[in-house]
Amino acid sequence: MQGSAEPNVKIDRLMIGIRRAAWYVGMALALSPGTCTWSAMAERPDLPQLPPLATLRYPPAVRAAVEEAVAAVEAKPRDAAANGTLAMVLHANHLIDEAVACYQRAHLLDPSTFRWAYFLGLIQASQADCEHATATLREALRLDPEYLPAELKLGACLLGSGQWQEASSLYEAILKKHPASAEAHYGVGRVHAVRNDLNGAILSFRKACELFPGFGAARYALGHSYERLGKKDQAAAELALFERDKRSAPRLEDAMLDEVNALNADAVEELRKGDELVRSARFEDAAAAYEKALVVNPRLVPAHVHLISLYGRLGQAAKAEEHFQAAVTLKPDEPESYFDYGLLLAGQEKFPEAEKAFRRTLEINSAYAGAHINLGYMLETQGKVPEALAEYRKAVENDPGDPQAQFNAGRILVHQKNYQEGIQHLLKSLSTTDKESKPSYLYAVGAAYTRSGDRENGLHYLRLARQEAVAGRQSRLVESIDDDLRTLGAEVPRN
Amino acid sequence: MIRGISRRGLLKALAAGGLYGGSRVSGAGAPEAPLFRDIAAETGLNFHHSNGATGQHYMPEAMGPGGALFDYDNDGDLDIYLVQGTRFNRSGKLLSPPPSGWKPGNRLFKNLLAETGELRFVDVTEKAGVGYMGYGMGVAVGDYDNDGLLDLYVTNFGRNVLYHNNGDGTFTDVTREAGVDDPHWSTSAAWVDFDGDGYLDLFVCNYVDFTVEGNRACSSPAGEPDYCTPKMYHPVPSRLFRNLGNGKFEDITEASGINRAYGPALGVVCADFNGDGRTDIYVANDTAANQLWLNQGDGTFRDAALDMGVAYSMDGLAKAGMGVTLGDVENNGGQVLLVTNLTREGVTVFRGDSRGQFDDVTAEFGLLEATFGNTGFGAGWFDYDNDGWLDLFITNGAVTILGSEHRGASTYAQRKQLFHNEGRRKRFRETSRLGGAAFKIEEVGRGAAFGDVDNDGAIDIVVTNDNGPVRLLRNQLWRNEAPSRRHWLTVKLESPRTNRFAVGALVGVVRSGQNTLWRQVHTDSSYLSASDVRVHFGLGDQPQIEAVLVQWPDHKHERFEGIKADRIMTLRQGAGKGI
Repeated sequence: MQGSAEPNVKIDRLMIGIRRAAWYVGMALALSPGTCTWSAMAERPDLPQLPPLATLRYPPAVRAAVEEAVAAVEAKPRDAAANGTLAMVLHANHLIDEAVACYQRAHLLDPSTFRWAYFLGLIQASQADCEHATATLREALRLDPEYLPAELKLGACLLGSGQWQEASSLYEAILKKHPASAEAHYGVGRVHAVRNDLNGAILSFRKACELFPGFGAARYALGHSYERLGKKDQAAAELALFERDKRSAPRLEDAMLDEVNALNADAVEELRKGDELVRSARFEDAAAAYEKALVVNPRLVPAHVHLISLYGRLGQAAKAEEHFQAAVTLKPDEPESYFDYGLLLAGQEKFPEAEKAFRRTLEINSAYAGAHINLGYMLETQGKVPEALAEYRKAVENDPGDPQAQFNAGRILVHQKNYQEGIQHLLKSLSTTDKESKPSYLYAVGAAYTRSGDRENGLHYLRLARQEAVAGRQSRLVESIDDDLRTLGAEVPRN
Repeated sequence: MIRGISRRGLLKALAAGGLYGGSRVSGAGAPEAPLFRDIAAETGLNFHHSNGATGQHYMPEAMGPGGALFDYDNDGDLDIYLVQGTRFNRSGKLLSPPPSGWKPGNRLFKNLLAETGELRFVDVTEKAGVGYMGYGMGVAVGDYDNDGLLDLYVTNFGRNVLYHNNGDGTFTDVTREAGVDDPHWSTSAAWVDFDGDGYLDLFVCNYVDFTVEGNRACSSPAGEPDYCTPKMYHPVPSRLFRNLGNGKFEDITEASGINRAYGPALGVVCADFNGDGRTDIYVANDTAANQLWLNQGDGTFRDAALDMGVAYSMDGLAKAGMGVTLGDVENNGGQVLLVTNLTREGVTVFRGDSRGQFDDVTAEFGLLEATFGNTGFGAGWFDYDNDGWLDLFITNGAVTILGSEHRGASTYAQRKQLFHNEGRRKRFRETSRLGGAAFKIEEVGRGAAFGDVDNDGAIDIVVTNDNGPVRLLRNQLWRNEAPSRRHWLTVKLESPRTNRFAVGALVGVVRSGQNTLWRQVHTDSSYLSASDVRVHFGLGDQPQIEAVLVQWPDHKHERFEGIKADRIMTLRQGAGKGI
């Protein structure tokens, strides 16, 4: 007899949810509630004071996030990362003034780390403090001369403070490295426009619009330049396009800033709600929560990722596809995106495509046990059993505590009559905490022992499996076990 | 429709004498004494605005008030009208009760300026009958019936009020008879003779469809209950009333096309923006594209803000437009328009060219960074040091909760700002720190009205604060500079042929070897406020005036000669030499 338990595609969004939720867990703080005054903290004389934080006024999620970061700074007042992380949390939650001092501290404590200089420059620029932002961003670019978002922010600052020559030189330098940067072409156009070189401005603005047709600011500037030249028709055409796209701008990949935005407590709170709703199998509500998180922060990759599998589960494949595209655009090397996309495709029985998605997941993270399991399953459905077993073995190797990996490997080995090794794997699968799977795993162990000739152990595990299946009201499984017990001539208990 | 040569045509024809010629008084040598001193309390100008806030965050609480500087009794000095709030929630406890002795309703203060220059104000509201008790917003000043007396139009959250000046120290509410009521939430208003018939018409900005019953709950990013942005409500079209000349007005909002596009309107300034000889209307909208209503000459208007480059800032963004001011800040006959915006937006400055195209020159003027941290409301180009170049004053005050680092006396308080025009350098330098104690106080500034309250030749400022005291910032120029170093001229126009105070006229001061200085007669611009209808010129260290040119609202041009500096002159249409 063959074990009747089927290999399952691992759909374990809870795992991700729990990982994310752990960010919040254990935030019990030693701080007294209310305002953090920092009075007890040791300060270096040259470090700016940390700002008072009226945490009582913050919404609960923001307060929790801020207080956790505060606790870390209290524990290590001179730790650049702790100060910087607090700044990032404040920054993400729009507490800009408060964030500035924290970034300054992080930067002073660790002047050789790019991110603190960059974030400080970024936030200074956002306050139109171009004098300081220019200096700070130049400092950041000395640490990492290739970080395009920092270069573009510096350019915007130079334009904002009327430093046309410096802006021009910078944008020209950017274009040598990034000729397809629509923002840089726009910047060059701005310099031309202010120097009344309208033809030059038009060339640059037009190039920016070619590179990104929905570039509202460039379109506006192009239309306005035509107006100034008296080219009314062209101006009208461009301004009409501007009215259509006026809020649109090129999406600048700024992985560093994404890290900040991911700390937005409102969005994170919605993510957490979504995770809880998934746990409660309230999938539509969960999808709504993730969508709400994306309203707060449209670049929140985890929300897009969750929505891939959720919409797949809800039968809304187009939406799932949309979120997959968004996720990989925002973060091309996020394994979870491909993993969940693989689940979506597998659910649609597009196995070759799903296999590809899982392979891509493993290219990004070869230690991803879940992806090995699912790739194994894809191969198994195509009759490629040895290849499937190899994947299951890799899953076990990377995560020996994964019951499903153990189960799938054991199941194939038993099928190949490698009972000893197979049973060892199957026994390890019994560590599962998933009550739904446990009866099947027990059944597989019983069946393996039986097939190996160990009737006693076989009957023992079959009876255990039956008990669990009855408790779990898995009637079809109970029927299968009863058939096997009858075949073995054993007594079949009455329910 | 009366037509004449365009403004620019006049400038070209008459402003001979050398653009950019001559020298200007330098701003060097920072004065020891402050540039301004708040003398409101000591002169009897005791007014404290109450916004009636009880914690519900009703949006109108955050938006007022305005005030006016105008000579209601024609005694030659500027009186002050101040708009008051009230409360929406009668049972709620006021978060900030007004001081003892506080009186409800709008207030009119008569200026008892002595020959010695001593200022004293007395509250004549009850006698004048202008103490409307509504939820007041702003005020516009103009002589709508050409009787030589300035009338008041008061905007409210709720019905507006037109007060006719009876000439005997009293006013009459003629709103109903005149037909200029508007039940919406009105903000700034402007008197403008758009059709050139010699009677001032009325443009009224309307904001959003907020109602107490429909009040939305909003919060700051940090989660505190806060005032909503206008985006939480729908904008309401502004109104245009045509003066029929018989004490009645016709609502031509629809017929004029002025409601074809609209946003939450807060600021308005009227001028000829495209040089076609007709007065246009520029409207600053809060969080929406601004509008420039080009006068078509047939009673209709066309929004050309996008085409002319004044709808959005340079990057195509619709900012939160509040106050506006327009002036020839480069002394070249051109127009420079400034719009105040929200914190983290900075002001927007548009410079017009000879083709009627405007460029965003905020950064070039050095005004972006300096204003970025503040929410600007009342604003005005004015020459505070009489050096012949228009400087800038902005009163600030947030509308949503500020970050703790920026919080002053109240959650919304910010400092006023003063900027010096650096002349040919084409940049502005912030001089707030020289402004005196009034510039160090953080308040929730809203309105600003400009005028020479003590007739000493230096422009003073009335600043209205939300839920705070009024400030009268007296210009201390003569305490810092010898009169011989800074000359001036103030001109009042009288026209028997157009609107009596010649609102819309252009006045030019021709000086040998120097730029002709051009100023427009107006009471509008800024925010919720009305400024002195007289025009003021700082002349620097050169008292010689070759001539004063006037382009009257009917486009007749006159040249007045023999004008001496350092005085207030009244020029009557017909008394000059026709050009």
